[in-house]
Amino acid sequence: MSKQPKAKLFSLRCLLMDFVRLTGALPGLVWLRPKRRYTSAQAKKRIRGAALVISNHTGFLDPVFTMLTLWYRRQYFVCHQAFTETKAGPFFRATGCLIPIDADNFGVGSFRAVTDNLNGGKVVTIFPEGHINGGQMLTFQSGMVLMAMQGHCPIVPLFIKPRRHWYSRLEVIVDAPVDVAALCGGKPAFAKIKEITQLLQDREAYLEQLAHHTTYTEEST
Amino acid sequence: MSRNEILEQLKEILITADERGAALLDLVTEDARLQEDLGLSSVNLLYLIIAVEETFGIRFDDVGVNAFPTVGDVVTYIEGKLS
Repeated sequence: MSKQPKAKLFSLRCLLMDFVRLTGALPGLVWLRPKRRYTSAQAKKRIRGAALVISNHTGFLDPVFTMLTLWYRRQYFVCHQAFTETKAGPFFRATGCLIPIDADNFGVGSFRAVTDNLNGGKVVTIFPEGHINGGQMLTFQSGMVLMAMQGHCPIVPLFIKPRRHWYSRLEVIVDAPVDVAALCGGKPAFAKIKEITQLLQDREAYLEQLAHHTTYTEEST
Repeated sequence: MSRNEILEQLKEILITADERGAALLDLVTEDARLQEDLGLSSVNLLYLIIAVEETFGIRFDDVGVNAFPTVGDVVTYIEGKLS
């Protein structure tokens, strides 16, 4: 896998994003902070360079939970374009960490925005189910594999275990990165991409199973 | 590159852009609609765009996948970019 270039750490954009993140994260640190669990020692290793993070979508706060789980400055989120056109849209756009996509007419520009960020060494989070699930995980879309392929980065699966009670602490299971380039090998046919998508869906289902057990090889809070 | 040559290369790409593979070839004509007739999804079309860019050495503008209703529209777009 090729080395990713590092983005500027002290640009105005980065500082503004930090301000939004800190002010937004303060209540999270007190109450929302999820309990992180890892499937292996490799999963616990800090991500170096770019990565495409995928997660199940259980609610509107999922981006906050993934942000609190993987504490990276340069983290972006893929979201529905309609989400940025709501009344709260200007606020979300001001955070500068959203990549809006039109689900009905997927644009080449949106795809490039994701791959450019990945090629720039940033962490991008996407919810491959496309919508908030109602407790049952939905079928993953294959677009994420194309993004990781073009972004030359691994995919990191997460599983957000929904709270049992409003006061119980949320748990997030982190899996080891999946090297998509190694699985694809050159220019894969679409059937291969579907195969990798299924593999990632299976990984996510495995994480869901793990979420209901308490023993892990590595654990961190 | 002539229009026919572009279409032939596009057919080869279409074989890899869908799980049905070579079975899709019978359906591919210039008038065939990508989503309705060939049954390609938005992800299939995205794959097609990436493969076309790599094969023909062109770069697509910021267009939506619905900007190309038929196979002929893709050929015309590539033709325009190559010229």
